[in-house]
Amino acid sequence: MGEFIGLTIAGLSLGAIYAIAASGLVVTYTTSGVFNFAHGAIGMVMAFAYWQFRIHEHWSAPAALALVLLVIAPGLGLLLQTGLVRRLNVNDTGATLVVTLAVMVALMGVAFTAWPQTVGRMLPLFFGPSAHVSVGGELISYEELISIGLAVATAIGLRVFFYSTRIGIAMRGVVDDRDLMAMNGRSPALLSGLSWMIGAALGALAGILTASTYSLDIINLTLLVLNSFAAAMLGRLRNLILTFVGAVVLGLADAYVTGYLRLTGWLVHLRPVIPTLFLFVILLALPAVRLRAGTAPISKAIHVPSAAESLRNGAALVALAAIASPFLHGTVLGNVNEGVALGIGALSVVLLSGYGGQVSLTQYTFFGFGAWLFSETGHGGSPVGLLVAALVGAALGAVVALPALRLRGLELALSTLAFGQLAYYMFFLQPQVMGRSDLLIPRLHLPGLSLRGDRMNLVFLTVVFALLSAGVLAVRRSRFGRILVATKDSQAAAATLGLNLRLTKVVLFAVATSIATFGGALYGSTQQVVTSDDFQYVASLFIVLIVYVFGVSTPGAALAGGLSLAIAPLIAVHIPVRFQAITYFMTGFGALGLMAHPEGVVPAVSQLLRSKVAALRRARAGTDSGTTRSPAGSAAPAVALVPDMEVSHAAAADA
Amino acid sequence: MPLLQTREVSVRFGGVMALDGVSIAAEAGMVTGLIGPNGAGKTTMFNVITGLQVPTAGRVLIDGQDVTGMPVHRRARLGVARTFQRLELFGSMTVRENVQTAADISDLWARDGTAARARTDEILERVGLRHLADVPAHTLPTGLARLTELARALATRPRLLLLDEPGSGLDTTESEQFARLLSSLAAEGRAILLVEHDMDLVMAACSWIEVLDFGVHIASGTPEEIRANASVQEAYLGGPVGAREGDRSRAGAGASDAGAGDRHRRSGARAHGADARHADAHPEAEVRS
Repeated sequence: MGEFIGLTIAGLSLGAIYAIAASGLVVTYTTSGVFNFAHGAIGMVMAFAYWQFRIHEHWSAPAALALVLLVIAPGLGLLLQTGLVRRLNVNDTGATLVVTLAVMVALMGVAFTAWPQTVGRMLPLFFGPSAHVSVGGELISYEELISIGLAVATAIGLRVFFYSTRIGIAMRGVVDDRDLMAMNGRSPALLSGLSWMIGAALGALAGILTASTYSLDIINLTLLVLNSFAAAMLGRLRNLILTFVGAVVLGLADAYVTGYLRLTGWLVHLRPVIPTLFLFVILLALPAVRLRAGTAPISKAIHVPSAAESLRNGAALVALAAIASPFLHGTVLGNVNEGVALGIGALSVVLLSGYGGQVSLTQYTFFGFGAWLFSETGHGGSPVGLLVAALVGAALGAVVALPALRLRGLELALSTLAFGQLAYYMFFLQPQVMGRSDLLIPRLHLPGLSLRGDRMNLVFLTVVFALLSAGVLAVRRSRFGRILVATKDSQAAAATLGLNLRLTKVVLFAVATSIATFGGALYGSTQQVVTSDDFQYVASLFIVLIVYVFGVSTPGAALAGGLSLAIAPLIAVHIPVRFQAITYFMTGFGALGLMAHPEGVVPAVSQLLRSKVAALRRARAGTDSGTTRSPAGSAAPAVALVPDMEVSHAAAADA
Repeated sequence: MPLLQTREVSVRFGGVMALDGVSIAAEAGMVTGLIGPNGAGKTTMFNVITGLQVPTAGRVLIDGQDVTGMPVHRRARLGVARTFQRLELFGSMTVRENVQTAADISDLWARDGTAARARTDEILERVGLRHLADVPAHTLPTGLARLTELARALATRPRLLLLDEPGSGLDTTESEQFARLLSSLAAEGRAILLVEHDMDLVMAACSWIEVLDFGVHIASGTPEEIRANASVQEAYLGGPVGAREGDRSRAGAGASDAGAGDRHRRSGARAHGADARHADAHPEAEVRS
């Protein structure tokens, strides 16, 4: 009985922290319409800020808490809302995900730089280890009671705020209908700002409680967002009461599972995936969302290269690799190989997100599956392993997509990340896979072609990349490609034209995942030694973000993304330890740059180059013929045609 | 038997009855008008017919077949197509690709795209968009964007065509020409259900009109009957419909919407595409207000 009480209190205490974090997530999401992926990261930075004042500057706990919770955290929330969130189209799931993910990654970069993990840091317990009460013979620490008390206070506070204050009632109004509130003269932007301040403060409180009860760890605190999400999904990210219930269930499940079950064998890593399993159960039980018309963001055309153009670019790329490879040595050569292999796998992001408009955050997990499948079935480097990896990947992709297909892009994206976490703990960490030791993978062996040397392997990988990206572009130009783009531009329109959206998404996920596992197999064959650390699910966030940075609708962006992720560590060794979070900064701040150039780096640059070339041609044509008239078809046709439109419209109605 | 029948369809949003036991019908071969002030539930009715909105009660029949629980895409394959009040164009495609994608979707299992391409060209010619075929859809002004949505809907070879305010953004002459286009499309055997605030267009194109007000079906009849109907005049803010025709004002609260459309049309083509979907009232707001 005593054990039961102790476990229950421990579970409630953990659930209380989840509840505080999750309620912050719900408040920001419902009022601003943007899911804050950086919620955990804000809590994490605030926990470090609290450490800074409490320990480093020797402030008293109440003073440090007041400063962080009432000033710094709300300030950061407001800054993010006014600087970024406000400019987002809330119906553009891709953009809102990418931007808040970018904030998360950038904040991690800031934390790694400001508080290098080479130094151990701890937050003291608020009341010391001996402060406890005895219930039924079990010692209950004050810390646990504090968390529970604060969660209850949060619940009461939010209830009073939303039901008894004018501004709280107005915020609930925004949740019901943003446009209507705007028409009634309330400013949704103002209320959204307030919701981000409250959300950040609650995130900070949860972060500080987690850090003082458990540990002050950048990654773990940042990923609190996933557990909060699981709790909040019970209330579909809207209902605070159900969110609290979800949080308590999660906390209790954690306590009872660790207290009563002997977790051995393959279940040894069950504990961290409890929230994920909980999430999957909820996702399966939720009813399908209905399609809504009139919400899709307006997308713009991006240049799609012709078959000839893509083959020409591919040939140039292969030639470049062949010329450059003799000049590359040692680790640089190794990392460039790795980068191209990652680029092959990252083509799945172009297909899935760039063309299909779906966001999956589980690329590295599929790379890992691909590498493992290749090691299991590609005996002696047999290409059969590549084929198996691609085929199993297709089946896997369809299965992973199924539970969330009926839901919105946001839930789908988050559930893929949760799947990555599940796969990491329950698969990659298993001793039979790569949990006990490194996984040795043979280099691919093709008849008549030795890829044993890294230079030859690089050229081969580049050929594969060139062919596969030409293939991806061919898909884009095909009927299926147009249909994909149609679903991205307007799901409601595509469905009312007769398209089975679920089937289309399953096919899309299958094909994209197949590319990822295929790329993973080549990654494994290139690296020859991989560990479970190589397939940490958090890494998936980086590759998706970096492909977005370079231009998610452009295959070249996959290569650029893969190469930059592989090469960044080489640069990092040459810069001071304080600034080694280069990958975080590059990805985080790079992705924030998308606010200005949503199309990404590669299309922006190639557009610039094309217009320069056109200008040059015009200039030459001008000097040749003595006139300044532009040659037909070289300038952007849309602008030139606009004056005709008024006329043409009358003609249109003639028919 | 009418091609489309709704039987006692009700939709409740929270405490508001967006539609309250509405039974309407649309016959093949003619244009049926569905009119009413803002908030009457017209767009909600379109959503129910196409399957985007599951009704709280009631049934939808296409050609006598009950489709109430049928998924959106399967209704489309039965021959239901629509345009949207707030544009849902495929913005990253050209006008031709918009239409051709729709043709592709309806010929999904065809060996190749030849038939779809031929149909695309034919439709672009028919609605008069051929010379704009290669223009990116997101640059189109409202009127042309709506025409593109019509062309796209036609590409699925619909038997029932639901048009949600296709006339906003058209001037007087264009709207007369548009009415003739609708009549000729109907004459080929299609049933057309037209939601429109432009009364001239409704009166010119429709041979039968159904009137909704606050989710309730208040009248149906020929244009002449509707014009003379007292409860219809009452619904339109008390003003007799006929008296307001001279100044081309749109019926009731719709006047401001359509006016906004006209303003947009004059204010530079590029801005049009971007603003088009914000020009009209939020369909849900329409229901709740």
